[in-house]
Amino acid sequence: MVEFPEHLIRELGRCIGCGACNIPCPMFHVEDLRETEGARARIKLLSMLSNGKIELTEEFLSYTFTCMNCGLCSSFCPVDIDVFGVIVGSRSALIDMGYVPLVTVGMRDVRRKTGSPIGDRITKGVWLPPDFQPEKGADLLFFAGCWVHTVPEVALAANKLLQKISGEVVPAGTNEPCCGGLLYVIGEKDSSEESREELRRFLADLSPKRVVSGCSLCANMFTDLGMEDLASAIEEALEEGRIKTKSLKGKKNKIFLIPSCRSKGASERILRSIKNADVIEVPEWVCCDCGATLIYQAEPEKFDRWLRRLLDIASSMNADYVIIEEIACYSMIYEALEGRNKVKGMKIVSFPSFLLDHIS
Amino acid sequence: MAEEPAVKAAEEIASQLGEDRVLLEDLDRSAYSYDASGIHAIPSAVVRPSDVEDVSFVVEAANRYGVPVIPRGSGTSLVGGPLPIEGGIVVDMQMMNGVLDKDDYSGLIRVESGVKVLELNKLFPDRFMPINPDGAGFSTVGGLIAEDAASPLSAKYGTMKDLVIGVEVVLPSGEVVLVEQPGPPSKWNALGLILGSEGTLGIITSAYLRLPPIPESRRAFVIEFSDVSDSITVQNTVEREGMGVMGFEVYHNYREVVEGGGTEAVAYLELAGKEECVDLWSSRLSEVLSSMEIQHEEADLSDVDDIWVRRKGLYEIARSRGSAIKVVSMRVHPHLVRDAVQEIDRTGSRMKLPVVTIFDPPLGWVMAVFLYDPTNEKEVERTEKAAQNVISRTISLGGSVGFGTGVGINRISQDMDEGFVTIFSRVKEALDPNWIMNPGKLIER
Repeated sequence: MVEFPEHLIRELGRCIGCGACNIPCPMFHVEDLRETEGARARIKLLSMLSNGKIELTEEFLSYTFTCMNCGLCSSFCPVDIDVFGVIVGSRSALIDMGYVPLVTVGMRDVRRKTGSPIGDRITKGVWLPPDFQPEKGADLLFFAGCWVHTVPEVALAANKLLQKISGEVVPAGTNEPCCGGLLYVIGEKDSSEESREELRRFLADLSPKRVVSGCSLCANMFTDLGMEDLASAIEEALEEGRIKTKSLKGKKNKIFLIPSCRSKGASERILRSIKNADVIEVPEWVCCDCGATLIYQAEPEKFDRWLRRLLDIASSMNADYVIIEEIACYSMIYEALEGRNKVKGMKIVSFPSFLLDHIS
Repeated sequence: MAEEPAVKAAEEIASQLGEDRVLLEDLDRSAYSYDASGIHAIPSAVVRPSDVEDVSFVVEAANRYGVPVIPRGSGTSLVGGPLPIEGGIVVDMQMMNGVLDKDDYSGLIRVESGVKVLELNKLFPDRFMPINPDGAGFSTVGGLIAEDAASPLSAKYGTMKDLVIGVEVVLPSGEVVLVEQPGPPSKWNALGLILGSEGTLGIITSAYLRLPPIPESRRAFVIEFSDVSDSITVQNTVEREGMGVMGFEVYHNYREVVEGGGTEAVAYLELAGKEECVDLWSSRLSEVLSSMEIQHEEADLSDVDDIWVRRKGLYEIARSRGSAIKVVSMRVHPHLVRDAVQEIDRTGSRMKLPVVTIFDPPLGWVMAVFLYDPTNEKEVERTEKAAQNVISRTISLGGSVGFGTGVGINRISQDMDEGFVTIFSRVKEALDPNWIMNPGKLIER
């Protein structure tokens, strides 16, 4: 029998089973409201596992470790259970007990070899000169995040965007460490802590005045690192009048935004402030960030179903643009669409690239 | 291990509906083994119909194999309504979530039974769904009708049955019947049998409803009672003077349990209607409360919405001590509310469990909310005993169980309500001779 730590057993036992956490759960909606796929089932089944009502199988283990990792479930719980925190805590506890699911083994190895759980598919700083070295004490350090290195054009756009809001922007460069965010959500808490510590040392060494992260998962989940997410930094510059938005031209201006799961709405507010932009209200379960990596790699067909569903909804709402806030998410979608940037008549654009054209 | 006839029935259903609509894996079956009651029962199979023909096929096949069929909406039941406590096939109705027809002027809508409250609330700009028992809007129309759900706003709008004009039902034989007319129903009998029958007579596949308009004006008060009996006096006055009460809910022991001390009970009372009337009623209510020396003040409407719509009071109880909660829902004659509250208090102290009683004087609706430590097995057992004790005490007071939530596995027996059990059993025998429809709920066989 699996024995979870007491605080987890208590939180699992507190679940009243109301199902509110299923409302924002992307997998629940994408898989046609199938109970098994929702956040409530993950909590309830972990609870059943902890009191011996069901057995731990490899299938169950994979199931526990694979969701979109958006964390939206926590904000919907009426009795304040940190639903996502309990899921992540259970993953860690299972790993501590020696139950490592096959789906994360690959990531663990890659991280050991390259320092990043997706290190085998990226060349860090490919968009920078080969001999680039970040200067110390910069006004603004651009921490790009692992996935951005697969889409150099977005990295450049984000960098240029930041140049508009700050005099001196220094990219973190080719030695940029992984923040450990993805490792954290898949329950690898020791590896995550190691990564974060490495990043902390890296940042301390460069001692920039501020750090803006292209990865909103890192910025918003590890607030102790003192990083701002890209959209929040841009919103602040807009509010302070350092930059202005330019109006959208033409009549095809309907925007379907896929926001970052952990942002506080900055990207949506920025887009709404653009003259002539018609930002569509999207269902509460629409969001994406680096946390989706595991499902993207381990169950690509599920990721594809999620993407197709989103594109269908956007198309049914007559969207002209699908804008993806989170760079990691854009990279995955870009790969899944095999580099196509137009689907069903809609332009698929990353938030930094779109904004670069509409900010002066 | 799944039961043999159930597996055969499931295989036949899969060949008709498609393999992806029949779930047989352990993981899936376990995910349909719970609701919000704390009870567990694993089905042999789960089927996911997408239209009424699918449901009819499923029920007919299950009947032929003599396998229980358990309809399920979102699984928010507090009484085990959608759980296969005698085994069988769970029918997940959530994919049947279409809006079939809607009229903005009259507020009439025809929806499939898997539509959720939160979706209903998006349909009209000036109308709403007053019955939202889980607070999040996750419950389905079918579940609400089957259990005849209530909410604090039932004071004004009645329970779910009062919003329903007609239903389409798949009977245990697989026959599909429409119990409705184009206009208002002239005879309630057949419809009345289905409403609140907890899925024991058939599966509701669609419903014809009327959503009420949002009132023009609203004002609300938060009231501190040092004696719960005063709330009944207030209710009598409000009734006698014809005030338009939207909701009136009292939380006994709330301050003690949640805040560590304070008045015996805190209450919310909302008046709604035309502005002039609401203003007049508000002054009068304030006058009455002052004359009774009852502390009160006008409440923010968003706070009151938190209580009515999001059920904040109930959830705040669960949040307060990091405990789990067990809710027992009952109805007593309003003049006996005080006795019911005392019985609940006594049970709480005897079982050493903190308890808050929520009651709605206009409805005589009483909910005992016990708090317990889910990691302490003995306390879990004591909570179950406390719930059973409250049920039997309520019945000896002349009350009934399951108001607003359904009876579910608590089942009504001959000695609780002989008339109902006799008539309902015979109807059940006639419509469902094999007792395949949601057995183990509502009444004993």
